[in-house]
Amino acid sequence: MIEARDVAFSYGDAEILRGVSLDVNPGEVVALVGPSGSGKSTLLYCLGGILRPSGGSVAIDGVDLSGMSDDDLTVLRADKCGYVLQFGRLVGELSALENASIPLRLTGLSRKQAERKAADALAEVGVEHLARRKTASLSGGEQQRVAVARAMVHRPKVVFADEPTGALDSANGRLVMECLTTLAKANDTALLVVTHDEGIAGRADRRIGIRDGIVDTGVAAFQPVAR
Amino acid sequence: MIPRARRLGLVLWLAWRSALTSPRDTALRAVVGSLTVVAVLLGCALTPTALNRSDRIADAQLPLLPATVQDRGLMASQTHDYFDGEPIEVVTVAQVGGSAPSTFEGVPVPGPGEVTVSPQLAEDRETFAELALRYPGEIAGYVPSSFLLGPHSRVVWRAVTPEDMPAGSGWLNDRGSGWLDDRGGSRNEDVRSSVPDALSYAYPVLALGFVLPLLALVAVLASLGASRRERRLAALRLVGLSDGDAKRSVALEEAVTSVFGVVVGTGIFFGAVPLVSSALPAQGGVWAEDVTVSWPAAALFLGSLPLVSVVISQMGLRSVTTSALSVERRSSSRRPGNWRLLPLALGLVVLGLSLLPAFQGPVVGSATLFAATALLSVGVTAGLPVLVRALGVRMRHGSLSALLAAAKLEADPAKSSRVAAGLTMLLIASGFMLLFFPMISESDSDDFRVAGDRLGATTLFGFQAMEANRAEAVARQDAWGTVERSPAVRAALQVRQVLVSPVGNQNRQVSILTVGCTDLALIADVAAEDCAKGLVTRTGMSALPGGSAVQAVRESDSPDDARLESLGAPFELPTRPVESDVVAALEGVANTGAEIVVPTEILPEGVPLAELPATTLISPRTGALETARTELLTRLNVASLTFDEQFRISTLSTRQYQSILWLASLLVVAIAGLATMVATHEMVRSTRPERRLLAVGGVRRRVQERALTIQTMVPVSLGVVGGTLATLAIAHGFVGLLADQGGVALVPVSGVLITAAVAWAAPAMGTVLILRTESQRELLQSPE
Repeated sequence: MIEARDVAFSYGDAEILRGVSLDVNPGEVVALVGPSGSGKSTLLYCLGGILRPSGGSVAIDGVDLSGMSDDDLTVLRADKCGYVLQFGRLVGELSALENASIPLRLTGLSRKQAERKAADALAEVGVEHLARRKTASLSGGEQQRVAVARAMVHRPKVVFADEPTGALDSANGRLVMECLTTLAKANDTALLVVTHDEGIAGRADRRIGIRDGIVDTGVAAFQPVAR
Repeated sequence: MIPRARRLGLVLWLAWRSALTSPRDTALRAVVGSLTVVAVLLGCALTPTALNRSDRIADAQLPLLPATVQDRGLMASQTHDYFDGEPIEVVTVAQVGGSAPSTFEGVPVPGPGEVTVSPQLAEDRETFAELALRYPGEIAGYVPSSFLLGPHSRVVWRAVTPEDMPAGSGWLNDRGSGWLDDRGGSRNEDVRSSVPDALSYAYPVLALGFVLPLLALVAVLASLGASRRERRLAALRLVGLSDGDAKRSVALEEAVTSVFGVVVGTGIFFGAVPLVSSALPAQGGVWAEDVTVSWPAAALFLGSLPLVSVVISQMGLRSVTTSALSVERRSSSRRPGNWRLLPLALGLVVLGLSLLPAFQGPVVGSATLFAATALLSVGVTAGLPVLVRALGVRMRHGSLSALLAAAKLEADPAKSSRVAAGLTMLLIASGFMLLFFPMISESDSDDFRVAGDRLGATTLFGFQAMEANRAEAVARQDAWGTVERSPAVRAALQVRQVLVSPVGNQNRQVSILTVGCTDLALIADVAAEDCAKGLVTRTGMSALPGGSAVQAVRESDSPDDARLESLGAPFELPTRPVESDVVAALEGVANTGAEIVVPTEILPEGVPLAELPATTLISPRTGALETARTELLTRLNVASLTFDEQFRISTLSTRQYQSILWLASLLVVAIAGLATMVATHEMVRSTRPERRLLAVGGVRRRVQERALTIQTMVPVSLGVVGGTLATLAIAHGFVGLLADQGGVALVPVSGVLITAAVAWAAPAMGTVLILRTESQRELLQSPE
């Protein structure tokens, strides 16, 4: 599903990623772990088509991202990807239902159709009762579950999650992670999660360690995690 | 790929939802927009309304042929009278022979013992017994609205015998047959074209001058609003909206709000047309149907409002990161280029040029000062970010509050300067208003009012001059100059001509000039022997403004002697004469002429003539002079006015003038106040994320407040100081220019300083109030 080869990225003179290569299979849950500043979030954004690598290549579902225009990347993100970031990043002025329906409307569904499916997605993460509430008024856990619904509602090929539970307590964190992994498995969606949390990393099929911008082979790398 | 139309629909839906979900912000922006629209439409309505009025004036003029062209029919004469400060159009008719019509263009022609009146005059006749005595008779019918300038016009048609017809009467004929000219000759042209083309552009340009600073403030709002949308845009981009879609969403949101403002503002304007028509200071009022809008101009201005909002919001987005991450990674602050100081420097150079003799003429001087005004207005606002940043760099070494403020000022000086930029432009516009329209205040001791009389007179005299043949205007000016330079006159007094110019009405020439016969014979079509019989009085639509200096004089009886003798000391007329002791003393004075008659014994002493802003001569009443005057006035067909009437006319038109200026001022202040409030609010709110971080980090609230106040007030102080200095310098230039042309005006120092203080204090108070009403808990729990 994701093929990354020698991905490099720099902010000015600072080299954040120095040639990372990895593959992620459909339906696979992969945890990116590593110390702060190691480059794991940057790697996630490069893989997710948000940042453009300064070297190497990334392909999602067989589509090479290098050389794509911003508009094409936008279309690809809307079509094949979902995102869950640390603070939800929802549109505060819109209701939970409206937030979750936007990715579907971007695929061309009518508003009614989109909201019907969005309501189902909210139900899948257990927040259907909050559908009409503005997301600015929701708690952090609730916002993250709406973000999960939004990320999964259009059945993307891959979901990128950057510290999705970082701002939550352990109970809410577990709940959000459970939603994410369950839906990913159910929809055969690849899930790439950046986390510090060992518990979350432990739920992944595979963990990839990142240190100083390269893959850390010292981490139980490339090995499926025993359940 | 989603179809483009559907994608646009989604963007529109997002814009609409966003506008609806921030009702307070949307409503405030819409209110500011609506008020701006009302102001623009008012500006666009003034010229067409004046033109409609001009047409009515033309239609109300009777087509009279010279008395020599026929010997039977309907003779008519059209004159004016005044009652209670309001003019009365008096048409005197006499039937000669048996062929006279019973109606003229819908007006029932009165027979002997009858009058035809306008509805207002009919009402007044019932209310005021003296008016019924002045125009007695049965009402033969009513003057139709087509002959009335306004709903409250007072018109009377009265019948007399042919022998009693005043000199200069003519034969009433079909419209188009011809009119009498000023000297009794015939002419066939209508007066409809008397409004010059240049005047058509004057009001919209004037309105635009006041509206532009307000548009700048609206733009500030739009710009700040765009910054606030950063998080939403990032979220939308994250789920797959393109950068273009995100920007289109903001543009549409702005357009929706602006269009809403335009629709509501237009509705308010047309709903308020009856109010506007009744508030317009025109004699007899203005028909509501005459208040029309110049649609090409209105469409241009109204169409530009949403466009300006959209363009500014898009410009605001340039400084906003709209990537999906919403992370602004800037290694260094954006330094505003020094080129921004160029307009300011140019403005100062042009202002300096205006001091040179080569740039002192009325046309060149005005053009130079207007250019300096434009350059300084733009220059102060454009240069603010550079100055703000420079000050921010120097403040870094101060307290913690100063350091926090300095960091923000240095990081984004353009953003910090936005509120101040709008305020600065508004300050300069207000300075102009204070300079040109000082009669806003009804205060007795308001110097600006007197200055405004002089400045308005000179300024508007230019427009009046354009109506006539230029050569005639020049000759007239020369003639007045001759009067002023005349040794006999100059030795005794300073003669000034004053115009009171109600908006939308004819200029009123306010002058009562008494001069030596020799001088008058040189410049005017008055025989020296007539003059020598007594007092020769030249009247316009006369009234004296408050503050005028008055000198009583006696003219020598000898035709060869042009001496004028002073009677008593000069004195100054009070600004509100009807309540003054002087006027109270004048109540018993008989009135028989168009000049003011004041017994010398009541004249106060000790008022130095040279220090007074205007001087007018008055004459004592004597039997010989009275006879001569009566003869002269009869020959000139000048209506007699009492002293009280003179002042009532003056006071009434001044009050009307004041009322519309009050309305305009209130409108401008309302828009400016709202815009400033919202802009300050937006600015303070935009700092919430940083303040939340500071609060989390344990920075005390007082330090935060101080930092934010400094951050707000540094650019505002720079803008206000710069704007004030620029305004005073420009005002000084205009006043000097006016003085060179014989006018007197004052630099409105205190008015500008008061405005500057308000402009300075409003954001400071706004900032502190907003901060005081926001609890630390709210700040920490804020979802933004």
